[in-house]
Amino acid sequence: MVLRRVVRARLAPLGIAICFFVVAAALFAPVIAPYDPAATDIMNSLQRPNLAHWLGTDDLGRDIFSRVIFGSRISLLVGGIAVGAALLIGTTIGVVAGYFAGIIDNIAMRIMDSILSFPALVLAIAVAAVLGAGLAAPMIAIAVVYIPAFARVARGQVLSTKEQEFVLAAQTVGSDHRRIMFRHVFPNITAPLIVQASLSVAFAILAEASLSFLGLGVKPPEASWGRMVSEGRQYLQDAPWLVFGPGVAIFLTVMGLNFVGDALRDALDPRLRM
Amino acid sequence: MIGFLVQRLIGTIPVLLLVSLTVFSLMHLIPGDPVQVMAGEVQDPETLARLRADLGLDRPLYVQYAAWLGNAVRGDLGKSIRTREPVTDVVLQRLRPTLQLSAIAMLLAGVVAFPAGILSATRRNSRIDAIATAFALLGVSMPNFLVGLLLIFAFSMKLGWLPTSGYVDIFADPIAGLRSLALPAITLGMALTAVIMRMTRSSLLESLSQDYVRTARAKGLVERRVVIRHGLRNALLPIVTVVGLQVGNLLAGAVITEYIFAIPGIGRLIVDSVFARDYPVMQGVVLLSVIGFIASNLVADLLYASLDPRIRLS
Repeated sequence: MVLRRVVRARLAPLGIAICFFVVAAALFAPVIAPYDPAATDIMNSLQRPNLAHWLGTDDLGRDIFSRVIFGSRISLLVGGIAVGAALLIGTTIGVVAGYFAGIIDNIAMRIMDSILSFPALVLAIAVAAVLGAGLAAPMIAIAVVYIPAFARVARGQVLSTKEQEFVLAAQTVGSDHRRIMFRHVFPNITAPLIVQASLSVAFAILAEASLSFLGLGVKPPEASWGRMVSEGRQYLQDAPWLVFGPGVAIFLTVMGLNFVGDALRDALDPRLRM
Repeated sequence: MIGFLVQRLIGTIPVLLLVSLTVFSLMHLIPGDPVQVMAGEVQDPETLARLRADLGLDRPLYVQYAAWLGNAVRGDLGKSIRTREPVTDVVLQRLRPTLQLSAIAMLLAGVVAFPAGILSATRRNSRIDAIATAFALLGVSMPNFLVGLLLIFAFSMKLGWLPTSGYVDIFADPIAGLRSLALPAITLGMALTAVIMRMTRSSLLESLSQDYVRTARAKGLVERRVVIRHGLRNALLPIVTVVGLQVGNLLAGAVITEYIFAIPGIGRLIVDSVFARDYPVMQGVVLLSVIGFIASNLVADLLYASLDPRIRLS
């Protein structure tokens, strides 16, 4: 028990530290990165990790460390915006559905069910394919996949919250529906939504990496972690650092976010503790 | 039980209708003209128009949807634009490798995850628990393409034990089949193993802290029996839910796994048909994957009831 607490206590700060580094890397990429992430240098292609190139160079002689640093921008941007959008849209749907109940609830939740009945990555691939190349494709694809999760959480919370006395009180003094929903009910359901959001960001970054690994989304020469792994694949035998550099970046980022998410869940919603 | 099943099946109809509509409209929103892709060099407008008419792509969208849906319920999902084969045949062909892969992955996950989960719950904070927890962490944080590439790097390239890619049917040649599916199955099963293990551990820990477990111990039952009959049996419910959801998600994992290991399964078919703009195939595969997903959740619900008589199916 004690050991476990210590481990937990250590994991959360570790997660926060990792997240801090990733965010810093994204914000200050041009300062941190020693090279231009797109600058090719054929004379120095496929170099092993060394002092000049910490993570080695790729087939075009581009510095992998610099590309990983710049790649954090895409991962965070896509993960953050996708989850932010899903949080906003999903919560609104969930709050409105839960508050009004009846037919609105029924229709909204059937639509959410139908989105949930797609295997997540399959839906994301289909949506990203529809949207074509560019940063917006994976963002929208991932947001669509996560909307139902937020809608469900929000709805469930609203159903129990709206029965409470302060809602009745607000109704009695004549507040309109919108005010009750967003001033009285919403502030009481934020904790589980924050937990859901923090865990979703980790999955969203994984999903973005998977989509760009398959060649959907950001186009070269932009450095996206998933695409770097996919492009480095053919050199796996002789130059595995092409895959391992960005691969480890994805792994560490997702792990850090998971630590933070777990810690937040334990702190905000003890009932969900695993 | 039967009544519940019927009710649930009826309940899935509106969802399936919505799903089919979503799938259909998604596919028709994809930029790029499949007729152009098919025709290749031919740019003669008359030929293109005839081709379009042949494929029924010149009709209004709602007519195309109605026709597609009408055929789909009769098991006819149209013909592949690329190969002109019926979609149903293509999908059935591709189903075999995916089913073999998923079955081995599930087996592996079950064999590893349950004992590990039980051990780490009963010997909490032991070394086994620490290793299992670390592994679970790895399993949920590593993208499965990275797992796959690491395995290829270690076991195929460096050690030379297993082939890097390719697929051999297990029933045609069991040894070669297992060798070809070993790494893909580990890749696919990794996340599943992690999730089942975590869930088994936490769920068992919770049920072992209940009063009836103390009673069982107090009346002198062997620990083994306490854990299995009293602890595990009651811990199974949340595990079944998670397994049901995860099994449905295996197909999504198979997309990446089959892509890396060049296995000609359903997952690979999804990616290939997306890039080839083969609408009918895409629609068919995606629709079938949704049906599979819904079915696996339904099975989980039914299992639920047989595990816990307190749950009334209504």
